[in-house]
Amino acid sequence: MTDPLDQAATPKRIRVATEAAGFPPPLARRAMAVAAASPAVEAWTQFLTLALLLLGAALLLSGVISFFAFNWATLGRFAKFALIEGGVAACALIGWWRLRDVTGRVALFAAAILVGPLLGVFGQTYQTGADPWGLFAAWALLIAPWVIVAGFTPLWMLEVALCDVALVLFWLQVPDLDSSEVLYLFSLLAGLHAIAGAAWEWQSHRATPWLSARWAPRFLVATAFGFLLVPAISFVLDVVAAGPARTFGFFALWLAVAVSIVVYRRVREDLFMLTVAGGSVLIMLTVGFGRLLFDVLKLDISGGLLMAMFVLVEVVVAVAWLRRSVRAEVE
Amino acid sequence: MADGALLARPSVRDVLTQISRGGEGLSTTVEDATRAALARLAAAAPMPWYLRFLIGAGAWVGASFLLSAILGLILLASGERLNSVAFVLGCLFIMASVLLRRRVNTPFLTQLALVVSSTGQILVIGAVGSATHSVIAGGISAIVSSSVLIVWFPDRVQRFSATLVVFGALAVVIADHRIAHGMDAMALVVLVLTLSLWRFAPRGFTLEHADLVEPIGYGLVIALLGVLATHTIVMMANLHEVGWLRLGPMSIVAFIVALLALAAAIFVEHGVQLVRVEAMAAFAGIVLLGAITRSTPAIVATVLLLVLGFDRRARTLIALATVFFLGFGAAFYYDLQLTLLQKSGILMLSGALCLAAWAVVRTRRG
Repeated sequence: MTDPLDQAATPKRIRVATEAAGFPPPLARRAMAVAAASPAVEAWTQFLTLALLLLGAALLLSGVISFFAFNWATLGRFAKFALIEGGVAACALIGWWRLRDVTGRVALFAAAILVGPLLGVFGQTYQTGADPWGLFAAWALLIAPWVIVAGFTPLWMLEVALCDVALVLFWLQVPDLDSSEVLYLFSLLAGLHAIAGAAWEWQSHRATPWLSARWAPRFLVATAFGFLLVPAISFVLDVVAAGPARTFGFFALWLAVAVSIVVYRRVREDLFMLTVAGGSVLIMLTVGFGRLLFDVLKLDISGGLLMAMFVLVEVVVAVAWLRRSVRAEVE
Repeated sequence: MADGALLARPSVRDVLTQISRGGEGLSTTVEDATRAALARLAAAAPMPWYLRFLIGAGAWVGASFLLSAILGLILLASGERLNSVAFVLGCLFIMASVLLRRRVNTPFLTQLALVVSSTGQILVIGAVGSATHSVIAGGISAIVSSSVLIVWFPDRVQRFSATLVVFGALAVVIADHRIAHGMDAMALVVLVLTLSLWRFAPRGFTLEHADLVEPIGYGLVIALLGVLATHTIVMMANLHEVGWLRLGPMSIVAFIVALLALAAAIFVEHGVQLVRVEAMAAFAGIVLLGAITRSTPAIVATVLLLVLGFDRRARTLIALATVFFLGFGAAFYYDLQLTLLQKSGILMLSGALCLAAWAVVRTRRG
């Protein structure tokens, strides 16, 4: 555990520390001034060089892209392929050379991005007739080896995003579905994110995890609940065409809530995940109670007062439960 | 843009050692007492943001139902006297919320106080606006009620949103009356207040009153970004019918002067004479940037916010400034009346200039 004295000197900490140390007011004020001073000259220089480097690279790259965009129509197919493949190869080489530091990983990310335009140009040049979902699926498949070797969180999230887009396009274009069945898409997307989240949790239990950032599984789980809420709310409010898709989504949401509570209370304590699951329960209860008051019982003003009380009470109960649920609150 | 290490503050130990006994270090007794006090502070840390978000969202949803029910009741009970009843009730809500907030500290009750105060403010503004049929009267009531809440309602969220309400009300009045140079005047006021609160006000005062200064500071930054975004949208979409919402030369010069003043203050704090080559190069760069991007003054303004954010080690301000800088930068290049080929040349030239500057700074640093 970090020594409290080694924590960053925020104004609040300095106030507490100078009081505890019994410093007289002039000394305490000096401590505040030292803590709030402008960063050192070295830090400013570092900041300036970083800003200039990033800005310069971005502007130069944008200029190059604009140049080729201007001349795109006049370029032959081999020139087009050479340009994009050259970019992919250069980025991949930098990635291979500096794989263990951030430069290499960012280069690999850029290579993975460039694969998309390459597939687009390929489809355009040879008129493959492939559906758009196929482009995204092939894109996700082709970059998968880089995603695995890089161990870079943004690259994993790109992979998930490509799978999402491929799934959405497939679902909307390929099977001949009626309007109610389209809602299955939300459950499928939630399932995809749940699998990605579970894989993440699995690898994080390894002796040396490949990826350690917590924001990614949290984002995946939060979006999975967001997807499931669409058919579940539609089921409760009876909006959108009736059918088994929304019933499925409704029950899938409760299953996801139950699984999340078990996993994130017993296997790996994570208050964020429990808050997301708890928040979904609150949304469902509010929607259900609202429908009961305003749609079934046809209450107006008294309905508003009852809803206000209900929401306030459910939040109090939920927060009390969440705070009791984990021994140590995970930031 | 800047990573965590760049923004790292000195540790509590470093600060205390530096000021105590000429940097000889702390005695064991003082160290133990300080460590214990800091550990107590850490134990009493507020709950995680997502839990506070859940509580806040719940309180606001509950309050919206409460507000609609109360408004329904007022409508039923007051008949002709609707506005006066809403005004009195709004004032009572504001007073009650101030009293409640000054006595409670639990997340739920603080959110409840926040909701009651906001409900009161909405009732007051709505009642005044509706009774007088005047945007100015409504705007004044918004500014007065927000000022009351900023001073007496000890809550960061309320102070932040009340600051936004003040400038939102001013913007509505300017827009409704089509006041010439009104946006310029507002931009100037926001700019001066932003720089004063974030950088030029006595540091002892701002640190002592951080609970008041920080949320107002962020409110001002958002208001400034709102003004800049309005100008950029009006300019890009060629909205001639609302052309008076554009910023004029006065604001453009003001942003450049403000950035020059900020740079000068930073140099002075580091003991660098303003006639030295580093300072002169920085000033020349600022003036050049301002002159080139004068059609999009938001670029200089967001550079100002970025520098301010780094100077104050404010991550949120840096993130906001970076995002808006990229957006306004893209708008600037998009809006240039040039062919794509000419734009590509300018982009490459700008990039090469930045990289050359990077190489110079790096060499001097080495």
